[in-house]
Amino acid sequence: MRISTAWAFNTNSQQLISLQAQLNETNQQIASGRKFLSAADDPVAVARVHEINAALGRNDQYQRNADFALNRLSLEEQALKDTGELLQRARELGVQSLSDALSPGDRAMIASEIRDSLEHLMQLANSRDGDGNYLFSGYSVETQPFTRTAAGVTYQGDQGQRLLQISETRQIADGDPGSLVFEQVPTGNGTFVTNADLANVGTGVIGEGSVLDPAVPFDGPYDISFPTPDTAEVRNGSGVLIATTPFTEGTSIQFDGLAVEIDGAPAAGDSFQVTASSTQDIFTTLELFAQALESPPADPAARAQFNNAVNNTLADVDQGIDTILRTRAKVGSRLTAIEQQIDSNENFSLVLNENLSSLQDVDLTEAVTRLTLQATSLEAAQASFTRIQGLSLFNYLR
Amino acid sequence: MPDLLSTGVSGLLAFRAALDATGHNIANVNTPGYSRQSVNISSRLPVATDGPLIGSGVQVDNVQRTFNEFLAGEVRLSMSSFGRMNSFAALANRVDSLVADTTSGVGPGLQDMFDSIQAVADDPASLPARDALLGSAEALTERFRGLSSSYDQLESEVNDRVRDSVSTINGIATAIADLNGRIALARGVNANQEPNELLDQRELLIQELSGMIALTTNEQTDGSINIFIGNGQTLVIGSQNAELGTVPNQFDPTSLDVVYQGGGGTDSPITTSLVGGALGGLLDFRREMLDPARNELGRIATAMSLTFNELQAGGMDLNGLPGTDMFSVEGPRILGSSQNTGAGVVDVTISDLNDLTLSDYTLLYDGANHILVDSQSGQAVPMGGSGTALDPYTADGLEIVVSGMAAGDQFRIEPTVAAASSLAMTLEDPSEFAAALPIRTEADGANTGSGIISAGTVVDGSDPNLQTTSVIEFTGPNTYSINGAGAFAYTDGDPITINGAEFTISGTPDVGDTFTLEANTGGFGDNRNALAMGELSVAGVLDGGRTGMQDAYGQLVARVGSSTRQINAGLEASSMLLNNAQELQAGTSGVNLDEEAARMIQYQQSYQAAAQIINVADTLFQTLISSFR
Repeated sequence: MRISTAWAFNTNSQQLISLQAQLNETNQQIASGRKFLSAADDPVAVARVHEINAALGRNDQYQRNADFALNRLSLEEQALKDTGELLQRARELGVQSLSDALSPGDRAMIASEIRDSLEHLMQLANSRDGDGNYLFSGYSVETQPFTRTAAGVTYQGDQGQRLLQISETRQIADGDPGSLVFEQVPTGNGTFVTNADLANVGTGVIGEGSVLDPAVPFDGPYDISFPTPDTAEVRNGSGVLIATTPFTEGTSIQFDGLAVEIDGAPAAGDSFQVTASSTQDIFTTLELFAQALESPPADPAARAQFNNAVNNTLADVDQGIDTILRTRAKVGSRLTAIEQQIDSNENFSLVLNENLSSLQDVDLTEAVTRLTLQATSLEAAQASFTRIQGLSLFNYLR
Repeated sequence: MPDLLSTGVSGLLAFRAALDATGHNIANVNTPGYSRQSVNISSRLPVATDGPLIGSGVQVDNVQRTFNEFLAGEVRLSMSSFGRMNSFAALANRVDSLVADTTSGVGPGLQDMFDSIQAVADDPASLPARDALLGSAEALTERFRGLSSSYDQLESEVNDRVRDSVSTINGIATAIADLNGRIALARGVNANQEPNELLDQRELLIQELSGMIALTTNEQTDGSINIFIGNGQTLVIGSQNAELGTVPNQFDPTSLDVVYQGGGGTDSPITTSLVGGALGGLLDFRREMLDPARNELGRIATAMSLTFNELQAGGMDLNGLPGTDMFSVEGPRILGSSQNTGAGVVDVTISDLNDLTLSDYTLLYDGANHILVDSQSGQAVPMGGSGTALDPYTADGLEIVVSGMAAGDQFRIEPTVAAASSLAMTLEDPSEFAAALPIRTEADGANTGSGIISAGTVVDGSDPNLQTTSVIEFTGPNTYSINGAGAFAYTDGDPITINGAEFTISGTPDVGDTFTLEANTGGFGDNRNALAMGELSVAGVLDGGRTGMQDAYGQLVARVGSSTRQINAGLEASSMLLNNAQELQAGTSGVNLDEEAARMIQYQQSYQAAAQIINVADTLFQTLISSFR
């Protein structure tokens, strides 16, 4: 084959340029640590890198969201814990106040402690987070949720529950509206409430009662009246006499699947009511307790009235404790869920970073080996170029 | 008997000519397009005598260049394909590096904005979080505009290059026509001797022209070569040449079209039939890469603007007011042809992001029907509706209202081309970001059943009664009334829509239980709308719900990257082919110095031998003369 002298020079220099370009690319890969320098080098991998970077960015944001939720829920948890302890103390005071040995002065002291607790409870229910937003006011974070009015403490917030995105598919509530925690607490035993008639003259004290058969529909308000001290008549909501039982102190009166216990000695003409449970905020519960304590009973009948009132309070406080505990359980399970999600987000992020690294990070050993190889071939090409181009017949024409 | 002296002289002359040719070859060893030349010699015929027939020396027939037209044809073809790839690849690589940046660019900008939205969702009442959101959204629009202006710059560069290419082509065509004339003339003067230098020069020009545009050639008997381009338009015929010109596109004056300026002053557009070469590469780049990339970017900008504005409109800002538009973006660009005769008015709006394509369209009126043609595929797109304001044409996510078009009129519709460059933030006050919804729901505290009401969403933010309080009261186990009126059937978990708000009630509400739908007054901590906006980061809003905004940008990068890769691979292949073709041609026509050195020695020795013949002839003559002394 004929070789054109000019073309031979041309080809050689092109080869040297192309070797230099390859060397330069490898050099850039090593310097940047990246396999590809533009999308055209590996479009599929670059698109994947975009996706992974986006997913990583989202994941980081989910972690920040989770931290936010964690902080808020921890604050809520603390407020609920304090509230629970406060109610527990109120319960102890309630039991104490039933003791016959208490003097009016002792009762007054208990009353004043309850009043202090009420103040504290207000503070807890109006807790704020680090940004000054109320924890228990639903969406209305800038509205103080509980305020004192003539009608008692009222809830000013709403029932909104903010959700935070803590993973691609998971949203979690970062709080609970105060209405569900402090306001809508069931009364009595949760099904019904027992009351002694205020006109009672005997010393009968009614317990909170229990449900024996939940299948029987509640047909109250029931009226338990004592035509004689040893006979109890029960009438249902329609005024129909449904049971007449002899009354012995310490045995329960049963009707329509319910059982109530009356202690002491009701007088003839006394009556007790069993009404369906409703809801009452725990501020009112404590307020009623304080009021009962502030009017010391003068005679046995008034004592019975006092005991009845405190019994009701105890039942309501128990419901309050129960509500707080249930909310705390929800908060606790959310906290656990968030912590698990944070772990799983971290793992996900780890996996994504590994993917990213395998996609875009250059294998240094391989790249350096390649660089050495390319440098060697460039040197060889340069050497052979000068050697071959030195050969010319004209060298011998002297 | 031959004349020994004359035989010797003929040798001297012939070898001198051969040495001259060798010298010419050596001198032109580096001349582009030069084909090595050799002297054709033949023995002179004997003079007719009775004696032995001995030839009378050597004669120079002509000087011939070593040239293979098939190899040259191969080079021209390769030049065309290399020229196209080369000009395409140079621009494609720039688009590629514009979109591919994984740290700045639109992709990470979108992510930044969505992160800021989540941060607002975490703490909707926080002004610093909202400030950060406005900042990242503004930065994102800047990235869109920046990328878009880079595209504009590329577009104008393409225009400049098209103009330059056309003038280069015209210059080469004129030079070829001129050489054609001189070659025909030279051949007329001496049919025995080819005008080698002129032929080489012309071949070089034809190759250069092939690098600019694909062409076919036809050699005439007089030695001139005719050149055709496009669909067979004659660029050079004999010593005459036609010219190409550039004119503004009939729809878009900022885009240049190429026209063929034949005789008679008529310009015929040939943009679409030009293939190959640098000019073809430029036009292909504009059509295959730049326009789709710009449309895709615009589609993402349009999607972002429309989806965010829609959510804003259904939301409530920190001032308790309905949200206003967050972004503004230019709608579809409608360009009437400069040749339209009617007073047509075309109005196009984007009605459905899911059906929006990357295509541009041409709307034609044939006197009876309007026809929508996809400019990319050239296929007609079926349209629904009748084109009136009340019943617009619908096609590919567009609503088209048209009136007053004359038969033959054309409009170009570019749905998203202007979106990216015009994308701007319209929200200025951070409190105007509508993180909340204007409504909330409430279950009455005295409810005894297990009914639960969902938080509610807004389906129609424009409903004037959206924030009116509605009380849902259960009047029976499976019926409820709204504000004391009506008896609606209750199905556990079915959505209930009242005044543009939607919610569900689930569980078993008791008779008398009530639920309230009311204005979200003071709901500064509500983040429902911000959450919904955050979900747009992964939600499929394009291509029938299959593609999210971030996905769309990833696809844009991948598409640009793979086209660029393909073009680069094509460039490498065509450069290899061109190299091979040139190497073959150089192997045949190129000068080899060693070969020339050998020839030089050969001819030099022959010349010396011929000179000896003259010496001998002289000696013979002297011998003869001296014998008579």
